[in-house]
Amino acid sequence: MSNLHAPRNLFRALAFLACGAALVGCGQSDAARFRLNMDGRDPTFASYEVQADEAKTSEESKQFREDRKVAIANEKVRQQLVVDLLTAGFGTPDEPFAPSDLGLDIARLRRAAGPVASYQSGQQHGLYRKHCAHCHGISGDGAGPTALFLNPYPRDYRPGVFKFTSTGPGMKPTRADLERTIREGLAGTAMPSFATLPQFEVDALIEYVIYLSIRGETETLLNAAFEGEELEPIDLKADAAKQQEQATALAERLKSEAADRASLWTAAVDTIVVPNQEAIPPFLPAEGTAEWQASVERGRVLFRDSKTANCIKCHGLTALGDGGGEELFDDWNKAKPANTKPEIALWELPKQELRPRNLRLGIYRGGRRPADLYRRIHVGIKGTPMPAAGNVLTQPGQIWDIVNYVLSLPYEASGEAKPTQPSVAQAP
Amino acid sequence: MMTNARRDWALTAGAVLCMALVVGCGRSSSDQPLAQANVVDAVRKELGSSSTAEAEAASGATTAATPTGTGWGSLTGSFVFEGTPPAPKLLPTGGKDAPTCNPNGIQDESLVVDPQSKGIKNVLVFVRKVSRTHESLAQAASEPAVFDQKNCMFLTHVLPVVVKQPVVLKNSEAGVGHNTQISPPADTAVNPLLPPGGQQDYAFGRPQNVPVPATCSIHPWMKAYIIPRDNPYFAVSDASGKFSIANIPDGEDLEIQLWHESASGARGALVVSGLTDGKGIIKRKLGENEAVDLGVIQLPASAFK
Ligand code: HEC
Ligand code: HEC
Repeated sequence: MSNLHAPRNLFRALAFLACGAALVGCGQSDAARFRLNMDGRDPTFASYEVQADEAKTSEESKQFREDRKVAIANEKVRQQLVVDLLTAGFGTPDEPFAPSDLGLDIARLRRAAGPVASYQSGQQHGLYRKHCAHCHGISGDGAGPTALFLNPYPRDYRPGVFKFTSTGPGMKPTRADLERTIREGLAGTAMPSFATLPQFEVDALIEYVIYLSIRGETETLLNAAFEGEELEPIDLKADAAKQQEQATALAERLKSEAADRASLWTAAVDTIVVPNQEAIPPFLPAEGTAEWQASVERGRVLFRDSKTANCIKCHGLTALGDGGGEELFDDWNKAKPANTKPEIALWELPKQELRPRNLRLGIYRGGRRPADLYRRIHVGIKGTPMPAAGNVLTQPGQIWDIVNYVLSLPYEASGEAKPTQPSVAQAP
Repeated sequence: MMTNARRDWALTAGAVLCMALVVGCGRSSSDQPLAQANVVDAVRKELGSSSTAEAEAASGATTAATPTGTGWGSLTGSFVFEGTPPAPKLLPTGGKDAPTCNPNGIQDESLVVDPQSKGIKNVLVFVRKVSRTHESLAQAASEPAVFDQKNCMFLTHVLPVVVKQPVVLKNSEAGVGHNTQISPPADTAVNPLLPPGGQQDYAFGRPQNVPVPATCSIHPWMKAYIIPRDNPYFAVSDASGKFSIANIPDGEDLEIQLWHESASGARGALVVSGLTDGKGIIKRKLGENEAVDLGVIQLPASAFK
């Protein structure tokens, strides 16, 4: 009997052992560290191994092994340089730093960073770790301990892309956009509302999200910059002058990349999409039933028109979110392999599908005010398949009409909500 | 008392849960290097000070190749499949937007081999860094590059452009709407809705070393690549596998990258034994006004995924 279970018992024993060992040193014990961004890299270098084996002649195989050795050595130098540079430029999770030209408020960062602590004065520190890190991760990589159990996953701030913004295509969110997300949460996702926090704490958290994002993007840029280079480690034994010379060159590099990222946050404010003020229809039947009805009708036509808004292609004829049928992914998941290799699954969250929203539920992550939906349709949902339609819906009132139609959907008699039939006539 | 089966179950569940916990906290940084305090200090000392002029000088010094030549060379060659090329495949459309999108399927362009010449199409060749650029190439870099789609396919499968060059995202269909999603790392991402006949201007803000996918979420089989470069030295092999790049600065150490969508190397690096290193890079210095012909480059099936 017990023999039959031997393999399973062995697995369990090993699992517990490995686990116990791994959990020691997990958690937020002493000095917290930012995790290196290994996305797109194979830390095991498994691919090199495979190539070496498949290579035909032993000569070739030797060459690949040689290359692999060089690559691994280079990777070690790269990691060290990136860690050193990022620590210099941004500090640590306990002691944040930001070069002055990034325009980040260090007092706010200090309030948000570090371990959780409260002082007699009632002041709280460590706000990010208290409220956000278990989902968004210490490094803002969206991979905190809770992340694995959520759909959608918490945002990974490091690519510098945020879904729900009031700003133009490709632009960063404004502080007000982040504030809306933090105060109101993202309805229909695990992102909670922090409406009860005092303003200065929300400000600190906004600052910290921007900081993590700029840090994350800078890391990606440094990785890209170091990619094709034969890297030279900083020589710790060299004389001070030589060392400082190396440090200067690296510092300039870090500075220009980080400042470039930071400037995008400042530029975003100039691209805020102001909803058209001329052709605002009534948004509730009570405000003018006939006019409202006409607006909803125009919106319905646009929503279904394959020559303009074409929303049905994803959201479906009846807006249940079943228009396409294909698997869709947001950019954070698109990059992941379909089946995560077990050795990589330990630090990467598995690929997660994204559905077009069922618009009959009346749950809007980016806000439920007509102006929120206007912007959602105008600029799209960034980093997702949901496109920007502002370039197409240029007639005054067109977007408002669609907003009205979308807002009417949850109230439409349920009998009308049939799953999409492939019956929409398409012009050739 | 727990029954055996129950205890069994509980233990396994416990083990699995514990693993899950590790996964959660895991993703650890313990195997990553610690910051070296003296380096951090030395770098941070620089972060507050220094003028931008110095910054440019310093970054220039580390990134540009050292110029030594004055003339201009060229590079040609052709990529040919060794052995029997894989049969052309069709990607299923599920009948979406027929007949504009061929209901029998859309040609899979991830590895296109000419049946006669066995030439391999869409191999991207680019020079990673140059110290100078020939004046004849400046004009081309300012002309708009058109990235069009018809019959539910992108008309260009691999499009190299120069940073800031206008890229016109276009939809030439008569009746089918598309969207074109481009999300270049650390650059402006766009995803405009493109109705029939619609177009939208775009420009990349920074160079990339790996082509950026352009996709349509409405027609998920549609996928092509655009790569923004900071120099105009690039080419894509034609249907017979041939490519050529002219007016390349001579006398400097060049790194010539080979890339193909389906190449088996890391991030599409096309690794050719005896020609490239493990990252698909040819290291070469052109002699004075030298015309280098790499000849026929035979690629075995193992070079591809
Ligand atoms: C219970 C888990 C959880 C916690 C705690 C949490 N978040 Fe989130 N957060 C999420 C999820 C999930 C998303 C992504 C939702 C989506 O993709 O639609 C998200 C998204 C975000 C976004 C991105 C919004 C956008 O437009 O893309 C920001 C910013 C954010 N959270 C900030 C915070 C801050 C600041 C805190 C702490 C005060 C916090 N979150 C706490 C789960 C959480
Ligand atoms: C290419 C597919 C696609 C098309 C076309 C499309 N959508 Fe979406 N839409 C999505 C996806 C995917 C989401 C969910 C994105 C997310 O939350 O990450 C979404 C979400 C939404 C939401 C929810 C916003 C929120 O705040 O939660 C609304 C409203 C919406 N779409 C309206 C429209 C309208 C109106 C159109 C036509 C102009 C349209 N969509 C066209 C894919 C699409």
